[in-house]
Formats: sequence, structure tokens, C-alpha cells
Amino acid sequence: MNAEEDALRARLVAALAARDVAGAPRFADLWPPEASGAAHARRPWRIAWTGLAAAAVAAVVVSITRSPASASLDAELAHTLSAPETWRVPGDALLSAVPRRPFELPEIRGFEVSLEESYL
Amino acid sequence: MMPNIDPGELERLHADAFSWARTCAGGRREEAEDVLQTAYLEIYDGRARFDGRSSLRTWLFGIIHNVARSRWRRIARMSQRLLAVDETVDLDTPESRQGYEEDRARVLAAWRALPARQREVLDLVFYRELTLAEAAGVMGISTGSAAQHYERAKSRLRGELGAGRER
Repeated sequence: MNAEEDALRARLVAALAARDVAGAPRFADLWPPEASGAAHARRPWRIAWTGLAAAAVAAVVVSITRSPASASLDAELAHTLSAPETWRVPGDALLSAVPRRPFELPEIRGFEVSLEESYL
Repeated sequence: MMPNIDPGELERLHADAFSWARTCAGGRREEAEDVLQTAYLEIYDGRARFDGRSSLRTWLFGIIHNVARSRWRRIARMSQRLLAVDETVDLDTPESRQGYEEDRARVLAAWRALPARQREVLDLVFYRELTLAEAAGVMGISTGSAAQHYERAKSRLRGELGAGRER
């Protein structure tokens, strides 16, 4: 490297060093695990946290609406209805204990047939 | 997949990495922060893995360069006008400029006016003391190509500074 090139190099190095005087942000503010907790976390981490928070809220709502007790009753009802003994029906106690579902059952009136019709 | 690098080693290179990210981001501090954080995310998620074929510093600089390039390509695709504006606008804040001596500001302006590859090769070889082969590795080009950019950059910078002195 000649003297002219050395001088050019020294000038550019000084200029870039002056640019960098302000310094870098803290490593912890940019490195992913720590950056998510930083006050000025950047976009990808904000999005990740929003998703995480939404999932947490959804989990709480689901756990409230579907308690373990109602899940076990559902299983008992399903077992009774699917039993090979077709004459066995869920008792009143079980039906009243199972929480109401947000759908309508068909009117029983539409299924009524006379004894005569049933033999035709 | 977890990173295969100790974060402490990256932290030791952090200031230098941020400075390089700033060069790759056209001097903008905010953009450099986004570039460096994206590069760290690539490493943290295991998408970028250190294989020991180069030094850790060269490898990290290469990732930063790739991230900055891909971000810039996306922006440039969105608007060619942005590309033109960035070549001409002084991107440093007035506060940071106050501290510069006149010559430093002039050298910095001349350097910033160079094409991206020339600017980058001068930063890597002059400022960060990488060899031409290492700089070529960071920039993802051949050593011969890096040497060409290096020679043109020096000649052009010399010309710019000489012309500035005559004005």
C-alpha cells in the first residue's frame, strides 16, 4: 500500500469512526430472547407477543366454558347413546346435568307415528 | 432448531456488527437496527448456522449483508423512486453531523456517493481490516470481482475528494 492510499484509508477510517461515535444499541435489545422484553422491541417480537397473548386469552376462555366436569358428562352421555343395548336411554339425571348446547333439537312432534302406521 | 453459537461470542462482535449493518443500510440507524435484529433472528432460529469455514466475524458480516440486500431488494421492487432518493439524500441526522470535522463529513459524503459494492468493499478492507478474499466472502462475490470494486472505489473516492478540494 502506497502513501497516498494510506492517507485515503486514514481519512475514511476517521470519518467512519466519527459516524460510529454514537455507538450501537444494547445487544440485549436486539438478540431475540431478550429483545422481546425490551421496551422498544421491534415488530417481529411485537407480533409474536400479540399472538401469544391472543392464544393465552383463548385458552382461558376455553377452559372456563369447557370445564373437566362437563367434558366427563359429555363422555358419559356419548357412551350411553352409543351402547349396543339400543333400548338403554340416558336418564333424566344425566340429561339435566349435561350443559345445554347452543343448537336446537328437532321437535319430537314430527317423529310421532301412529301404532298402525308403524306396522305398514 | 437452536442456534449453534454462544450468544456471548456474538455480543463481543456486536458493536462492529452494528457498524457494518449501518453501512449495509445506507447509513440509517433505524434500518441498521432492523437489519441486525433480523440477522440475529436468523441465527437464533437456526436458519443461519456457523460451519467454521470462515471466522465468526466474517460469517456474521455475511449474514448481515444478505439480510440488508434482501430487504433493500424488497424496497426497491416496491418503488424504484425510493432507490433514487436514497442515493442523493443525506441520511445522517443533524445531531450526529455536528460532531464531524469538515474533512470527515466530506469524506463520508464522498464515500456514501459510491455505488453500494464499492462502498462496502472499502468499509470492509479499510475500516474493518478484512482481506480482499474475506471481503469477497462477506459480499458473496469472487475475490477478483471484489478486487475490481476495490480499485474502482479508491480511484473514484480519490477523484471525488480531489474535485471537492478544487471547488
